[in-house]
Amino acid sequence: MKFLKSHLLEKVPIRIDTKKLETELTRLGLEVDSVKKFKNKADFVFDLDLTPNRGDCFSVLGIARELAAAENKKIKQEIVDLKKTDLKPKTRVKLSAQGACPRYSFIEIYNFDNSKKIPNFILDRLEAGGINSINPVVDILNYVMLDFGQPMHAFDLDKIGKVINVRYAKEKEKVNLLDESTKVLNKNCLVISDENQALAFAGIMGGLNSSVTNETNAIFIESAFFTPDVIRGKARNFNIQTDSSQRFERGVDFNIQIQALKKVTNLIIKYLSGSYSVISTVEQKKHIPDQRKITLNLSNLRTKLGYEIKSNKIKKVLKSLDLKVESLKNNFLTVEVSSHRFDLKIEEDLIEEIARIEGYDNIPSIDLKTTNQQFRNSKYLQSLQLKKYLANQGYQEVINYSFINKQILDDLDITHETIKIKNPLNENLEVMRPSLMPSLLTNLKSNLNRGETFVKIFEEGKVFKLDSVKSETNMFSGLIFDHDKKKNWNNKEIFDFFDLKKLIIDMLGYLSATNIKFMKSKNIFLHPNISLDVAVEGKIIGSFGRVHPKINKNFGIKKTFFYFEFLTDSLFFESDIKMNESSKYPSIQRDLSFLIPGKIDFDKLYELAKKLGGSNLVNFKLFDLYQESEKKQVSSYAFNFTWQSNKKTLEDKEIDLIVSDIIKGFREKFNAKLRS
Amino acid sequence: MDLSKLKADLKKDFNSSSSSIDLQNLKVKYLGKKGKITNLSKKLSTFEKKHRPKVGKKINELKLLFNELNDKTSLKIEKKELEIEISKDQVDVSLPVDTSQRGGLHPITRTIEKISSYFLTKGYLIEDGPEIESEYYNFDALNIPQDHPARDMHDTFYLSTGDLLRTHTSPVQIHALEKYEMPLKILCPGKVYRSDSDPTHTPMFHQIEGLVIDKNVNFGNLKKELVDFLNYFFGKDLKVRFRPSYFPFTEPSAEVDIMDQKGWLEIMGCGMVHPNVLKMSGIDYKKYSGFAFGLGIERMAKLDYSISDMRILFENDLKAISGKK
Repeated sequence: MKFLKSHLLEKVPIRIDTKKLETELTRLGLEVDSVKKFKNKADFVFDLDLTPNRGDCFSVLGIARELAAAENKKIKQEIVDLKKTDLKPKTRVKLSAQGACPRYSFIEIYNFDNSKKIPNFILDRLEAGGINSINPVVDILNYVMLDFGQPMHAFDLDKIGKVINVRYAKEKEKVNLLDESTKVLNKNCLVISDENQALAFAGIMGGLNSSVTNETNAIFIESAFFTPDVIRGKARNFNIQTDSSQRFERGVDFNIQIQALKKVTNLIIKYLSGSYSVISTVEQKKHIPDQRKITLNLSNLRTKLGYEIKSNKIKKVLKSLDLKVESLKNNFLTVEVSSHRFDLKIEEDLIEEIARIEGYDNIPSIDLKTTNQQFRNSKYLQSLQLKKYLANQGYQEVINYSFINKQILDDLDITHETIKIKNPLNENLEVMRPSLMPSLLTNLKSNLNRGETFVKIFEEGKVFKLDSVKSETNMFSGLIFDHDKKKNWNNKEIFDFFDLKKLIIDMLGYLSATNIKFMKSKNIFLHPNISLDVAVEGKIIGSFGRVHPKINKNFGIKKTFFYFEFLTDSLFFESDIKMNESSKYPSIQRDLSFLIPGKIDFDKLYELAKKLGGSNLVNFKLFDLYQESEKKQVSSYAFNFTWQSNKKTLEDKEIDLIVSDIIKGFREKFNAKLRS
Repeated sequence: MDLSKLKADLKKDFNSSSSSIDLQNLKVKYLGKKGKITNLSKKLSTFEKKHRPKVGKKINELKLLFNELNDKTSLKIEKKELEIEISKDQVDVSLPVDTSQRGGLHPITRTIEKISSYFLTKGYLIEDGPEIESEYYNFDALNIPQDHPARDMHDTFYLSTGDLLRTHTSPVQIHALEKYEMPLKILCPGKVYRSDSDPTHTPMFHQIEGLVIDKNVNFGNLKKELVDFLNYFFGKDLKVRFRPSYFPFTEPSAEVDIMDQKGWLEIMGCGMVHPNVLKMSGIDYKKYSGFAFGLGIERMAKLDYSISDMRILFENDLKAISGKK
């Protein structure tokens, strides 16, 4: 809502500095978006960012009421009177749509000259209000709308029929609008029609065919009250927003229609000359809103705000807002809401009005005394802990949009159905991501394009799947690309699968995970032979490994890289750490090297060593591994065993026995030869 | 045996020793099995009885002198030897280390943590809620009926499923009201979505919602709670302004502004929970009241990290988000 400072002060006759006026309006809740000097004049254009509840402030009159209340001044009442006339309007009005238009006032004006000039103060106020000048009649109508908040529409009397009907549109009924568009309406749309056709989209926009031009010399002016619910959402549905729809859907004063018509008529006669008919009004009385009454319990006011305001002061504030204070009985105040305040419905609304005029700054700050929530172990803190762990391991957290390009899913062979956005900003943001992989891949590519050779990133976020039970799942994923051969003079190591495996095991250990099993992974993003699934109590909670070469190919990334993903909510374990006293007895270590032919999983060697090593085997390490002979596929394994007991000093003799069992076992099971 | 010569030799020998090996040799030379002082002691019995105490005393003095010289010299030698050892350990400590591992949390996460850590100490429970919502939770239950002009303030993304992406974190309020017993104190950080993109808006951004429900909660409490928080966040005593505003789910409603170098800066929205909201969620609104507040994380991060274009936050350029050059 834009207006001139001088226009406002015409209604509230005070002297007020522009800066002060800005602060004052803001303090009242009328947010000032900008204040700009108007042309070369000593005047200012105020642009207010109105909240949707204050339809009444879509007029200079409405803003003046607010300012007057705050300044404790009376508003300058404008008495608009129209000289009597005997002319009866030629047009008849019918209200067919029940409840949609409870009040419809109209007047006809004849023999005026629409090519005359209207005074500059009107044109300036319109310009400042951001309203384009069209022709004198339309300009005057718009000016009065800016002034009083009542949108009105003029029809060329020669271009409309004898009976005006306010009715709902027929299904698929067409109407040609002023902006030269044609809208196909539905049964929920209200139209103004004559005997033949829909002339206007009621409360939203007039029709092209019946519009007023410079040649027009006779008009029919509509000044109606449309029920906000009937207008609401219509303009938006048809992608049009007008000064009129904005006001009607928020609620226009249902008692101002005739006043507005009088003012318009006076201005037209004054500047364009002509004659006019009497004003006629058609009503559906039972649909005109009640003058609402609200009871305010003064002790509720104190409880809600936290401090007491004297009842006299309360009454004064309410009166200053044009609200009728009826009575005060036992702390209960009955207030009649005026016809322009659609937003005041319940006691709390009145409490806000009083607090607002009194000033929010005057409400004292009071310590909150509430029962504390139980401190529950929150998922938030656990996931933060995990993020910090990875950050300390050199991983950078990223956050990506939840929506992605559809193409990337095809490139990743993701075939299951996804959730799509019906109205995406653009095609790159049209599908809700079913995995964090697409986002991380995009991050990888863009960072590689920027010349990075080392990318270690992770993200925590929801992924979305079309599923009737649970459509969103919290995921925790990471991606590692390390081909920085020029890292540093003392570090030339390149990240490999076993670095990833260590990371995952350490991470799970940090999260107090127990009973973890690794198994061959079927994750479609991962290389089938260089990947593992992580399972806890039989449930797969995540996977990690080298990214599938197909993805390298599809995304044009030549070098290998790694990926992991976990179900975030499955990563939080009850911490079960108990302190163990360390053994007082010495440990015994033995190193054994075996030559083992063929391909054997380390897991198998580990299992047997564990079994044969007995209960005092406290540590078992593979400290060297290499292929002895490529042809014969013989590998050399060097193990370090540590035994220690909590109860006694172990003797060499008993360990020797165990060692020979191990040698024997490895020979029998794996055909292993002990290296001398 | 000339005792005074022995004494002079002893002094001379210690003076000329320069390593711990020299010292060991001296020990053998004087106090070893065949050492000069040892020999002297052995010969004590050959002296006349009346001279023995005097000689014995002299021998003892020699032993004491040996110990004294030994201690003194060994300290000197140890010091010298350590210096030699240290002088051999030469490393160019100005050589660079590998700092290419730019690990860190995203600025948004850091900002959420900064905010949450405050409210956690005040007993708020951190709640998570769905990002895909129904019209009911995102609008209706928050007193924003169909076609209400307030819905125009939310440029909503609608989904193929008929649901929508939440436009604010306020629906978490409703889930919490349905899920928990009163009183209630929750904080909900999370992603929200609006169809908007320019330097100050991204189609996805983050909010934090706070909700307190108890008996006798008032606007004064809301003011105190938020002013305390803002002072904590910015680490100074701020000038804070509460100005009337409108949210369908609070009444009275307010915007909170803080004063910075350029003037008033809008920082968050808040208000007393609208009775309709409590009613719809089945809370006895005559018994309970409360307040709610919401703030944009990006805006807070922007102030904390001096970000000019919000879109940078989600482009994930490693150099940019890690804040390292």
